[in-house]
Amino acid sequence: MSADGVHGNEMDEPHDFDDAAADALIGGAGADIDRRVAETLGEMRAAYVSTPPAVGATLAALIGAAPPVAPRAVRRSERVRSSVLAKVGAAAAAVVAATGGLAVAGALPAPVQDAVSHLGVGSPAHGSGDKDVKHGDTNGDDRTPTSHGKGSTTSAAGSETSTTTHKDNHGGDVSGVAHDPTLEGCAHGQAVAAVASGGKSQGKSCPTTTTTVASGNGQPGATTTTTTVDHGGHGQGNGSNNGKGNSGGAQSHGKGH
Amino acid sequence: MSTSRGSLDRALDQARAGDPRGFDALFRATGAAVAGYLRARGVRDPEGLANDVFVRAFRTLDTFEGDGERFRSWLFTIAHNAAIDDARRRRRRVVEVSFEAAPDRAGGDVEVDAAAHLAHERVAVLLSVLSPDQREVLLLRVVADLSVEETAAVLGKGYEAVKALQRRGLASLRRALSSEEGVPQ
Repeated sequence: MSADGVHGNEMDEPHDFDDAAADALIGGAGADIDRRVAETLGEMRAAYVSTPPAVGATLAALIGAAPPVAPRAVRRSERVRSSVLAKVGAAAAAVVAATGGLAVAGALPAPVQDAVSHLGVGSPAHGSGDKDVKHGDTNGDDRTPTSHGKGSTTSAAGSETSTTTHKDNHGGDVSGVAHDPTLEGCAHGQAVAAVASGGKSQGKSCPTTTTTVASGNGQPGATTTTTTVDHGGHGQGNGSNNGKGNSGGAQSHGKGH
Repeated sequence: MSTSRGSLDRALDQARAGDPRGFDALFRATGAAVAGYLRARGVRDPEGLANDVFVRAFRTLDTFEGDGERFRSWLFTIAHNAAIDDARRRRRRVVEVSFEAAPDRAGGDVEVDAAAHLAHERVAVLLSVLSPDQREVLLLRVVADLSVEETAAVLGKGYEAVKALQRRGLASLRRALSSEEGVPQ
């Protein structure tokens, strides 16, 4: 081998190609010079260069590429579980949405309406009497400021039990008067009606009751009682307010006794 | 191969700054050629050795000075030396590969694999008629896509010597092809 690294017998071989032809063939543009040699050089490229190497773990750490990992097969049980959970979740969301809408509309049965009213959705069922009044007291204590329609509520003892203040405190006010133990009978009803109607109730004066007790037919103990009732001023105000208090109870009280 | 010199220079700058994206770009630009060159050199594990070449190059990148073109020469010098070391190791010991350890090629197209194998064999036979230096020059010029200057740098030969080797190598190849015509393929 010479200093240039040329084998001894290479100098004896014929030089069939000049430098330009050799460069053209090696560059892939020498088909017109020698088609077979050009094709063979193309096969050489295709045979050896076609597939890039897979990246090993050490090299992957250097170039920031993740080493190839076979994708994890998802088991059928996982797919079924995911599907069932999705369906249950969708059904629950639909029930909540439907119940909420009915509650706001007040179209739920009374017990359900009362229950959801605890959650601040919709108003409680009307006409449930003392039960509703009780709700008013309890709600006054439990309400958070985010609840709507509940304001200061006067308890049966007349004490302010809630610090939550709303402009729309009509229901609470009516409930408070309805539970006022100092009022009775017609006066109670008129007071409730007055509060419920916002002072618009123009009830007449309470009825006068005349009781005549007479002993008739000479029979001892026999009495005749005549009662005259004036139905004016029975508190015809709108007790069914739109507040979230216990207006139902107030309305029943407004009927007088 | 098809990577422009400018993009190789940018990737090299990124890699020098420690940006993994630069290493990744360098690997993508030259990985197939390095593995192909090692495959043509007949090393035992071309992909594994190609990984070693890049790991070695990237870990010593701070010692390299030059642009993207010089980087290719430097990288193939490492690959060339790795192939020589591999040949030496194989001469020293006989490697036994068990049947179970044979690479799994399941899933490939049998006809395509067979055709590729035949083409590979034919190219290998043609290359075998060349002298080692002629073969080395043609592999670096054709498979690694190095210029005459880069090839000369890798082999430690002069520019004119490489020119002469590629001319004679192509002439030998043509003679081998001419004699091949009388043999059914």
